[in-house]
Amino acid sequence: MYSLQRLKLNFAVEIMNFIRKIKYLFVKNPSDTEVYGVPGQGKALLVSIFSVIFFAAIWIVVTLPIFPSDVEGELIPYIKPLFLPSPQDVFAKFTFIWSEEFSGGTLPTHIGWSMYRVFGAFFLATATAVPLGILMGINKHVRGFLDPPIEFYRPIPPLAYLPLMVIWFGIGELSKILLIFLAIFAPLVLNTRAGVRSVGIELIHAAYSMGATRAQVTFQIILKGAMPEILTGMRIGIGFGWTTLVAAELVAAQAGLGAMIKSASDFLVTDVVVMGIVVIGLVAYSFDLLMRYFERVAVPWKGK
Amino acid sequence: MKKQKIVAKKAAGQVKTKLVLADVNVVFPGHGGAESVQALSNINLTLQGNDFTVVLGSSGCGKTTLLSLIAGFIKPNSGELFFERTLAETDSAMPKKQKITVDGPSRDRGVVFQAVEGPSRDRGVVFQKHALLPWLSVLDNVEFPLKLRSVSKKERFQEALKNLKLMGLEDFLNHKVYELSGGMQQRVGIARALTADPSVLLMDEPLGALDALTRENVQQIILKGWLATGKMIFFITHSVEEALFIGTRLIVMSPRPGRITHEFPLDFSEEFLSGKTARVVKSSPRFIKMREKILDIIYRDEGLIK
Repeated sequence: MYSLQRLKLNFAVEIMNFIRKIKYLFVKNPSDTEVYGVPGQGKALLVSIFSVIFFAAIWIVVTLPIFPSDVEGELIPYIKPLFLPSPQDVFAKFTFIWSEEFSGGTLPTHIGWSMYRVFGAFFLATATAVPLGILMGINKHVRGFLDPPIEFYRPIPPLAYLPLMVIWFGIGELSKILLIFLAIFAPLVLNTRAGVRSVGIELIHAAYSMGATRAQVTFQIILKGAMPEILTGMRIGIGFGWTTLVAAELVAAQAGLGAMIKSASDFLVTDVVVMGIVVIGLVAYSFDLLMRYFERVAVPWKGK
Repeated sequence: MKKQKIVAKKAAGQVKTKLVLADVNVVFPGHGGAESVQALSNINLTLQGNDFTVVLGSSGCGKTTLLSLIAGFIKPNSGELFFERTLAETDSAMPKKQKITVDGPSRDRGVVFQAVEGPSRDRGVVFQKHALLPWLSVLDNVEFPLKLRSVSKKERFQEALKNLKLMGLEDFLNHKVYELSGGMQQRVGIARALTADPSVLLMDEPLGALDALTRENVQQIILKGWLATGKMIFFITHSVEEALFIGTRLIVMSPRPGRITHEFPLDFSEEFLSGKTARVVKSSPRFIKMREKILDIIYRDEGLIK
């Protein structure tokens, strides 16, 4: 009797501990001493892993063929493959198109073309937006002149001016890269400008008091001080670049992830559409991770 | 014994430098219909030799405006601001160091007048917020003023190391500045300003953000650094105790309009430098009496007592 009670008690304690551990996954890192901390502090990696598994599981479950259909003996999933193909099908398509041509090329060809367009535009945007953003930050005339056009076109969806790009620059690579370029340019130039403004006046005063020339202040203080914001602008910009990719490849693209998705959607090949989306997401996310790593290495002082 | 060292430093100098402010006025225009503010009114002030001038005053009395003015960040609405350098008699040729662009005329009877216009490396500044470059190491920060002038790497390192040693930071050369404590960051800032080898070192409440213990410690380091370099220092503070302890000359300012109301010579730093401990100096009856006297002046300015 006594030992049974103890067993029950032990069991209760175990349950409580388990619940506490589960709770900590969602609340914050276990710490016995900290009661009130900064809202949202602690690592959320475990929750993120759970989130990925959770949504993948929902995808798997709703596409499992477990319901009886009108045809005798055939089982169909909760959501039909036309609307949402199963992850297995998508992965099978991935491996298939990796080596077999679909809509003008194998998957590596599509990825290659898309990366060429996005990174080409990203490179051009970085080469122009950073110097212009710095100039806008340090010169009121440049700022006054460039502010209206940039602020005007910035909120317009690229799809809206895509026809204009095509009319002006044709259906070749130029209009595609230009469209993506414009999407990246605005956030990058504005972040660079904000970066210049974020450089403390003490740093600039200090440099002048040490005998720095205007050029030295610009290149050795302002440019470096604006670096964290420039890198943030690059991250935001490349994100916009990927967002604009499909729009850019809508018109007469021979190959590219956007073109592949477009042509798959024309023929209702949903698994290729989903696969294209996942590939764009993964490529963009990988690059973002790379940028974040680069940020940690290049501007370790950020936020300190 | 150490007092002789100060005198020796003076004699060794090739030139006698004075920084003169004559009838300087600064008016800040009012924004949005507000009345303009007379930030500084008829300032007459001469800093010379190795003066350690400390400025005290209630908030809004124009201390920082005065420093910005000397640093060249702002310019006066009226009045003059210039360096007056008297060359030593034996020195026929102008020493290399003094090849400065002078404003207008010249070397009358061995005296050079150099107007203060804009910031320049002959006026080093130490800020309340350290203003160090976070992307550079401690050593690179201190070398920075020399790097701006493309001084050779070896010379840069020697000069920077000398000043870092002076500030007791020789063990932190390769640290990142954001890894250091507030007191150490300020010491790096002072070492950097010294490396530019300015004629005058301007300090805007450099110890204002430090805790009381660190503050006392850095005060002593600054005093020893001053003794070793013989720099002319212009030092703003809010702390009466700090002002009395660290300076050789005290200036009290009053607000509305910002002006200099009192001036006192100080000798407490001498007591410290000749061997007494800081606490002994600061707790002597003479020090306390002086402290209360200055506090009384400032409280009257603030309208806290009639």
